[in-house]
Amino acid sequence: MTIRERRFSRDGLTPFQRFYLIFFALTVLSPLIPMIIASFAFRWFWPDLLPSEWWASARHTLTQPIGWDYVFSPYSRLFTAIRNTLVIGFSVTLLCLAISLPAARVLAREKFRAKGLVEFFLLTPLIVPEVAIGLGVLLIFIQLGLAGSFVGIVLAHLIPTVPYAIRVLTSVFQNLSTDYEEQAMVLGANPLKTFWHITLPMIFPGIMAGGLFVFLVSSNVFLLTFFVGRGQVETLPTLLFTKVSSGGVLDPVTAGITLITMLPGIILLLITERFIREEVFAKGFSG
Amino acid sequence: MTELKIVNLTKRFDDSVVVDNVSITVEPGRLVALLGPSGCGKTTTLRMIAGLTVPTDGDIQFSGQSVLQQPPERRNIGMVFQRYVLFPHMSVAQNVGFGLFIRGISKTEIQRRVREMLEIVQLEHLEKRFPSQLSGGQQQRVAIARTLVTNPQILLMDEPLSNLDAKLREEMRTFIKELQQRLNITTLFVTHDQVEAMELADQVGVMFKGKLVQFGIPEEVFNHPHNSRVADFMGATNLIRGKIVRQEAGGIQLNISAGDLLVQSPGSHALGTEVIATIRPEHIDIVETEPLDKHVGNRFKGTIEQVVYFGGSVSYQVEASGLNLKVLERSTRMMTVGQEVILRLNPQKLWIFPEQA
Ligand SMILES: Nc1ncnc2c1ncn2[C@@H]1O[C@H](COP(=O)(O)OP(=O)(O)O)[C@@H](O)[C@H]1O
Ligand SMILES: [Mg+2]
Repeated sequence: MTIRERRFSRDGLTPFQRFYLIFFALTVLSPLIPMIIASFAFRWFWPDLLPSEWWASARHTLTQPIGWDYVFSPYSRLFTAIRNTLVIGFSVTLLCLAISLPAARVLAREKFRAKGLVEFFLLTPLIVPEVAIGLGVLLIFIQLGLAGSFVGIVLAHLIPTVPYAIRVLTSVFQNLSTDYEEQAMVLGANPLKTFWHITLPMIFPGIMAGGLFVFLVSSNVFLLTFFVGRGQVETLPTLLFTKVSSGGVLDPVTAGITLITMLPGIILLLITERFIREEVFAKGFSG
Repeated sequence: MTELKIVNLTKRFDDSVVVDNVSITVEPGRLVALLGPSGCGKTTTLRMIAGLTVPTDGDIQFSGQSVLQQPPERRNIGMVFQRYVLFPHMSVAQNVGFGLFIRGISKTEIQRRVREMLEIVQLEHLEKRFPSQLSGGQQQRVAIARTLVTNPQILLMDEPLSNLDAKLREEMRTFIKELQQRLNITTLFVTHDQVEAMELADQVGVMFKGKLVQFGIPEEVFNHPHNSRVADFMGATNLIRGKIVRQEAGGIQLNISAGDLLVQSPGSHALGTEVIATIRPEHIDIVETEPLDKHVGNRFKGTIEQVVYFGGSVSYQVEASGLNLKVLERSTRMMTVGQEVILRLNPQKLWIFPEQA
């Protein structure tokens, strides 16, 4: 065993690498701790480390719902917001993938004169501030009668997501050799069947990963939703914003809704991660 | 059975001509090997026949019918790619059955024909495996089975053996030859390995830089190369420059750096023509002891400069009055570097072609 090898422990990490990972996890997760505590608190004053009174003991003494009871009551509008977020998120994801797939395929495989220009334009949504986009889109959508509607919000969400999806899917297509599609065609498959039976199953992990991030972006976009929806369509981010501005960050209801807001993303991440790992997608398609 | 005919086929990419006016006819049920160094346009030629690349010029005909207007999926050909290209998300059985599945054939019929095909390639026990779980040779056989199961009218193979190790390559060579003959399928086989071409093919086409420079039966191409590049590529590395000084019924007399050389090669040449004579390393005899008699032709005194052993044979590099000749013989005797020898070049094994090809 060389000196170099001995520095690695059984899991293949150096002590520094392990420290780094733990540090990283703590940075990401630690802000959640006060949030969780706050969501279960009834009275929590500075500089106490823990609340002096908890939600569980206080909820029976009051007539109106507090804390988690309020979060899950119709007053919180939580379920409407979840439903809106999901409907918009899935619509955006499907539409975005449908637009991005053909574009990415062409960008990855063909050479054409304006290619550099197109690639540059795909970066512009990262450069132009969201407020500028939001205001501009709102003005146009008011004219078109799309302001305050689901359709308007879905279309607006495509602005930050399409460039992102195109870039992800372009690299997915670049990693897929054309050999497979050509082999399928030689074996008698027309372009449509080739796409369905060969291309799609082979790029499925990439589509899942891209789709997941599109959904996450859509379900976290606040400004665009707020502007274009004109406050009439409430999603989780806009609901959260309303709560934060009225009740403060450590308000139990705000904390509870914040925690709930994280759920769709976490659930999706778990589902897709399992999907990609087990490669069920691949075997499931070709039966 | 289908005849494959390509006529004046040309492919230009931007400014470079990759396939240059190539015409080949593969007779029904025959196997033609397209032989040439890497980058000479072999794959591009196959891709045009398959319909994956659009020719710049020329025609491709199956049994006299031009197929240029047909997309690949309608040409009913089989193509085995250099890297097998098994679909990673399908099992062996699904891979083999893909062509049938796509044609909408019933499940039971697909099952029957896939099983039959897997038996032919001796892989029936692996039908549930996935490509990543197969060895190179097994993947190769799956690729062949997948191609043949649809009964293609023409089979195209792009260096199908180049990714296999030497022993497996020989096995697969025999296997492909037998299969091709049994199924009687018109085949164009691409390779850069002359031994492979010789063993498999009914006819061999030699390509250089996009041009077909020679086409004929293997023995012809092997022993009577049209120019020095073909000769060199076919392993006839001994190229001897000379000038024709006499021509008679018995043969042609050349003047070379080491003296006179008699060649029994057909055809008539003008006196004084500069030519190249070639002889394969295995056709030169080393005569160890015989005294050098001026009047017995084609004998040259030389010194062994290098000895290389291969399994059953030895290769000698011999310097003989300005000629640098490679000699290959069975390793029944061993000679050493520096040893003086006499070389005999059999006039019947010598072959000449014009110096400028
Ligand atoms: N799509 C293409 N665009 C430009 N050049 C190409 C393309 N395909 C092949 N070539 C060029 O054509 C030449 C012949 O390639 P190929 O037919 O693959 O040769 P081989 O199969 O004999 O090795 C090579 O120089 C290669 O770089
Ligand atoms: Mg090639």
